[in-house]
Amino acid sequence: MNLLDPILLSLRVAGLATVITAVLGLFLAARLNATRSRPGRILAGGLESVILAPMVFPPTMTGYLLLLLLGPNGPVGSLWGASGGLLFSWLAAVIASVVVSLPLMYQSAKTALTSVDPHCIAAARTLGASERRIFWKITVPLAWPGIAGGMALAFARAIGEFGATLMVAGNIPGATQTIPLALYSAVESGNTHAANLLLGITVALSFAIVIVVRWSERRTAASRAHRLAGGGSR
Amino acid sequence: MIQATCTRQLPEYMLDVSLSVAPGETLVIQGESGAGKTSLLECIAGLAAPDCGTIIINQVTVWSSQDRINLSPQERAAGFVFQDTALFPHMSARENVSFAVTAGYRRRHETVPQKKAVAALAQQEFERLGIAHLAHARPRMLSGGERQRLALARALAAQPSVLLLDEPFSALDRKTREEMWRIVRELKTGTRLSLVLVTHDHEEAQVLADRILQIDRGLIHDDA
Amino acid sequence: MHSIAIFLGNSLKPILLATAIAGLVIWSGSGCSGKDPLIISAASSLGPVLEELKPAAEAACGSRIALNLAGSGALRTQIESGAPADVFIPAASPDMDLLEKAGLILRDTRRDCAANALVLVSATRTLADGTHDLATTLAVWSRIAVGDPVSAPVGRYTSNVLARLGLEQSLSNKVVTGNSVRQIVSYIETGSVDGGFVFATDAQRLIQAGKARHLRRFTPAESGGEVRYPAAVLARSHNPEAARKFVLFLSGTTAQAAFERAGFTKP
Repeated sequence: MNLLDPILLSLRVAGLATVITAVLGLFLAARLNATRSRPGRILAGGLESVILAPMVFPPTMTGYLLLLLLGPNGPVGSLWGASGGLLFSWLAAVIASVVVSLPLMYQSAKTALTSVDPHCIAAARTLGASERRIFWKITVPLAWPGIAGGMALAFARAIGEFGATLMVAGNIPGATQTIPLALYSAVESGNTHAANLLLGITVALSFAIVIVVRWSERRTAASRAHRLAGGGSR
Repeated sequence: MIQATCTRQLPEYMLDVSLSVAPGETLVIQGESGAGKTSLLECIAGLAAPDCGTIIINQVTVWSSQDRINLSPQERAAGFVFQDTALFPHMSARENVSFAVTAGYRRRHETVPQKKAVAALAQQEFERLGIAHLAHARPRMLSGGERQRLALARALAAQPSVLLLDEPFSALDRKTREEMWRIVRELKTGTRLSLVLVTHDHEEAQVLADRILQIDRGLIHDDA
Repeated sequence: MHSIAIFLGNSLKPILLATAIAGLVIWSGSGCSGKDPLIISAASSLGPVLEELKPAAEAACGSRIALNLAGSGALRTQIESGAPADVFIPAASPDMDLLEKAGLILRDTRRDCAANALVLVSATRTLADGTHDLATTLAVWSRIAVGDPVSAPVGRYTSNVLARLGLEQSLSNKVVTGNSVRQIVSYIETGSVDGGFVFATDAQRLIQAGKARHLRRFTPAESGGEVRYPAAVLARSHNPEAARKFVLFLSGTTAQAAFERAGFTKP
């Protein structure tokens, strides 16, 4: 069994999915939590439920829903033009990974953005800085450890994504067979050697991700401690 | 110059205040904690909204419940010094002040000067407040008094038309506080900047005020 | 001049980001160049033997082949939702029947390419020989791995056998249920059970790996039907000519020999 294919494919799919999720998650976390008007907040609450839904669904259910959406008869797949809609393509694998990792990124980003010291933001406003400038120069840098942690979680979820990917991208070696799908095939066909190798790689990746998440947690705690200590005189 | 009339429902009682500050005048608002002093300042700055009323800064109506006017804090150009300084922890002292300098230029729709010019302007503010040697320090490395000076420098660097200070020196020790009083009085000479300072310290009020306003339970008691 | 520099500086980050994303997209997509391969949606248990046959199959049908391996039910759902597969080979006839009824296959191409049998094996550590009758042999066992009839086809065949031999009652408190054949194989491999009911192909692998011993093979009459692997060309195939050749290839001598080597029986 060729092990290089699934590893490279997983890195590409998860990498692209994480970039998309990071941008989308940050954007949604910022916009949905900034509305003031009542109808705006209701709409934001509804959209948030949709974003977080895949966390509650079993992966096969997410996979089935995506199958309906991306298939040649579905609302998205029919626009794509190919005879099978978006199914069995690497793009479908990326979409599946984005859908399941977005809730994690969104939650992390939302928590990080809303725990930025509101006085800092208020101060920036009184100085005359525009909302966009405040977001990029003050809010995001201060929320960065939490945002980075969210990206690490999103990457972890994307790399481990199996059920939904299997449904919409298929398990096609060389084209859509990511590490989890390769592991599944190896186990199913009794190829314990390959299965063990893939397991080892997955464990190593998980360790790397946990290290990043722990780092971001420490940075967030440290900056919060500094803020609390820095309020009064010494 | 400020003219403000506001009413606002607070948790304990109703804030119902009317005040005016002449150009170059320092108004001190004194009262117990929770009497509504901070709320009043926030309403003037645009960080909070009164239920009802009118606020005019330098002849521009920034808030009117009747005419439905509500200018953002950015547009009001009301400098604010917070009790906890609210300095940007991820930036050095110089970057904090430079941020304010460029923000001020943008607010006034003037071309932002080059980096060097901005740095020079920041340096000016540092020297005015005696903290030039701290330019590269992060806020968390500074003492309480140094932080408040930096907060003041930053607020002034944006060239506001009025300056609001919310119990800025209450966390400092006696000696540092006296030092800060001296700095504030020095700042006032030669400017037409209206200052509104909130404090619960009688002596501070006496030293800094041109006029004192007593607020008790949301209502003005005294106008001395 | 200066304003251009500022504009570029401010835009640099978004431009870099966009370039990085574009690069990733192009890199990811570059794996799918050339003519579209024939996509064979096959049950996972056929994976190893189909991989082995791939070069010969590609030569026989004149097209590259891509194997899509998963559970028969998932594959069927994919096809019903319009997935672009060309050939379907499930591990049970009912899945094919459903597609046939829905008009999703080319009926004249359907043929069984292989069959399997139900086999009872004992784990290596178990003392057992094939000479005694089944009831006596199993009486001394404490745990037997059996498939869940609801979720695993192997379970259906097993419960048929047990019913026909009248062993259901006596074994009911020794039964350890697995929800797939894979799980039963794991139980036997690890010695967690004394033995279990698996397919002939799984039994062969276990025996070759020294993890089990063959005890008894059941006839189709005993197991309530044959375990068939039907293959058919899908109606939506984008290359039905090559797909037909592939299905015919599966019935040819090369393929049948490979199936037999893997432990399958003739259909």
